[in-house]
Amino acid sequence: MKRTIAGIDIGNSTTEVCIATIDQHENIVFKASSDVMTTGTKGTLDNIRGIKEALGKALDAANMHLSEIDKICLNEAAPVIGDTAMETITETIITDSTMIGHDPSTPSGEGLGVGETILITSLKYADADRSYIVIIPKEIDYESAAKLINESDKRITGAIVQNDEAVLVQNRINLFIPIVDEVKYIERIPTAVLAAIEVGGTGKSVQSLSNPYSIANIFKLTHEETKRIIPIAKSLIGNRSAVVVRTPHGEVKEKVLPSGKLSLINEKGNVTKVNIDHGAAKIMDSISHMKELVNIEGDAESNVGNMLKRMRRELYNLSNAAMQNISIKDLLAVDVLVPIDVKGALAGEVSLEKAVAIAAMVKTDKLPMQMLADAIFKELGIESEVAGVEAVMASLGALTTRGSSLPLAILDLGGGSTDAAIVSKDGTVKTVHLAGAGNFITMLINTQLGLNNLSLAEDIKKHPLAKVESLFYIRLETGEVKFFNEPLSPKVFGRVVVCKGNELIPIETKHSLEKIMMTRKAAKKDVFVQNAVRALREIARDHEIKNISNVVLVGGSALDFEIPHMILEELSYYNIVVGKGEVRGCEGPRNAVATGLVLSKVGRA
Amino acid sequence: MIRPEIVIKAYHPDQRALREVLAGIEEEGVLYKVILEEIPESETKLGHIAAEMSQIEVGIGMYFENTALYIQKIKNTPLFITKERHRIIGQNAARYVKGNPLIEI
Repeated sequence: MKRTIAGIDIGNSTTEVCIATIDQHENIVFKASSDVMTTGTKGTLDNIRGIKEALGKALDAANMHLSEIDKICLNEAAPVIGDTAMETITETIITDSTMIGHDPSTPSGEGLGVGETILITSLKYADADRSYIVIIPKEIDYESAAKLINESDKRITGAIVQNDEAVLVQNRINLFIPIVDEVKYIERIPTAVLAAIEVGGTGKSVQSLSNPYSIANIFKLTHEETKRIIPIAKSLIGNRSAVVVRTPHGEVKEKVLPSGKLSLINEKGNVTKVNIDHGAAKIMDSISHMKELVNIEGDAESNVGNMLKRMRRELYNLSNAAMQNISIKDLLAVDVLVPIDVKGALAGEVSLEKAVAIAAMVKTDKLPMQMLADAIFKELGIESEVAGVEAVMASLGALTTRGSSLPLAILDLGGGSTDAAIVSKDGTVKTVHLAGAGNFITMLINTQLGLNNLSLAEDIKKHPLAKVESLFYIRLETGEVKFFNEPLSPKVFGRVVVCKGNELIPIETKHSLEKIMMTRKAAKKDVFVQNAVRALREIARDHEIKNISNVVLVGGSALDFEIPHMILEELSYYNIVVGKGEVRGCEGPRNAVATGLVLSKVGRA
Repeated sequence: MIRPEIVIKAYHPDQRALREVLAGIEEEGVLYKVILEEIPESETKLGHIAAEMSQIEVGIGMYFENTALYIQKIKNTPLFITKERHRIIGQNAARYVKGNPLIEI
């Protein structure tokens, strides 16, 4: 008897459908496939909206009607969910306004100036025997400021301007002094204290104020005091201009925040504690040394502790399993540098702070997929069943890739988790689920570039970058130049953009194209290359990656334009055939599980 | 020698507005030349002609305080027009020349 089957794979981030007919001779004809965003957490009734949408899309493509489907097969979704959080380790605080270190686009002059700070309007009352750095608030325009400086008989060694007028002032005065402008909170600069101002030479950043010994020399500091100004010097590295002010109590502190501990618990109930502020390498090392990890807990007040608690609660509500059966099974930590606003800053400075980003994965015995199947039957009136374990189905689907054979390992690069499975010739399957996948990369890009915009971070992850060099052409990150018939929007001119198809999305930061590209590549490497190696080592015979002969990459992140290449490069060292899946020769690395579900019905009417 | 400069053609420009346009260009470190017109023309017409005259293909037209920024490659529409934010028009003209991101008006 001829029958039509729809295989549906509900993943952390996408729901995929595959529709096929199987005739009486058990010949299978694939009709259509589709994918949409998963609605809600996987395994919940919220998924139905996404399922209906995906089914509709596939049916439209095949020119079929819902009533023609005889059976729906759901995957026994791996009962894991992933989430991410970040723990900041350091924080920079400025007390009593001691420095200005920002990058106005047009400072002026060059070199170092040292003197006492003074309001430009008070200049004429000042003592004649000292050097001065004048402060020019926004009420005084460049013409008046220049006039006041030229009329003064005092020694002026530098100027700090609130407006964007450094060049304008410089061009009108008879001196050549370093001038820093666009200082937002100029009123916070104390007057009558010793200060140093520096503007780097053409193409250079500040040289003296980024060197602790130079600062010590200028302000005649003792050894102990020199130690304390190291954070100042450090945070001024790479700036084109800077001001350091010496105040009696002022200080820039690099505070180490109490970021808490992780408690790793094994089967016997033994607990290993690891400090998060020791960094990612130490955390990952502790985890890999842990045999039979059953749970990970974080300190109650920390971000990571809260995330772990929240994830367990979420899965608890979802699966109705007992709380003790829900455990954090894996964790992926990555060291990051995050741009964070400096507290007490004068010109909106940011400082790169150390942090650890963490992806975790919770696991339970089983997700309530049967409940979902029942709900689908009620909603659509089509017989629905939970048809097979995700990893096995993915392997079945992946095997439709030409050139692959048993024993076959698959690496499922998803949104919420990295899963791996190995199917041997006798049909036994071994699987592993690891924390950290596509969503974690998005988070790493978002925080490290200080975007505060997840959808932009997602676009940066997925698409190549370009610099808009003219209103008529862009230069892509590969060096290739692309011309346009119509002028581009002035909004994107001179900016780094993401090339999302024909759309150019401007990235409104001061980061260079190279910096954004490096951040993107590093995030992908930190997550997927590391996870590929961890996962394969876990499932390989004797935990030796060399014992695996071929690996097929499937899942949404295998569609990425560079992740598969990175994994290929890494694994080529182990002499493994690895490549993106070509499911059914036409789906690429997508649709493996849905295809596997349909295939599993062949020969079982 | 022809200097690489932004050309400003102005018909009875508001003195404050002109001063601001020039300040914007100067702060960004780009050269300019001002040509005062005696025959009344709109700021768009003047801006267009100014861009045609400029070696670096950027021109600004001014009619009293009305100001328009043109580039040679786009003849039919100004890049920006304004009656108030003259400093930014000047800065944007210079930034366009330098290939730096523009400030939104």
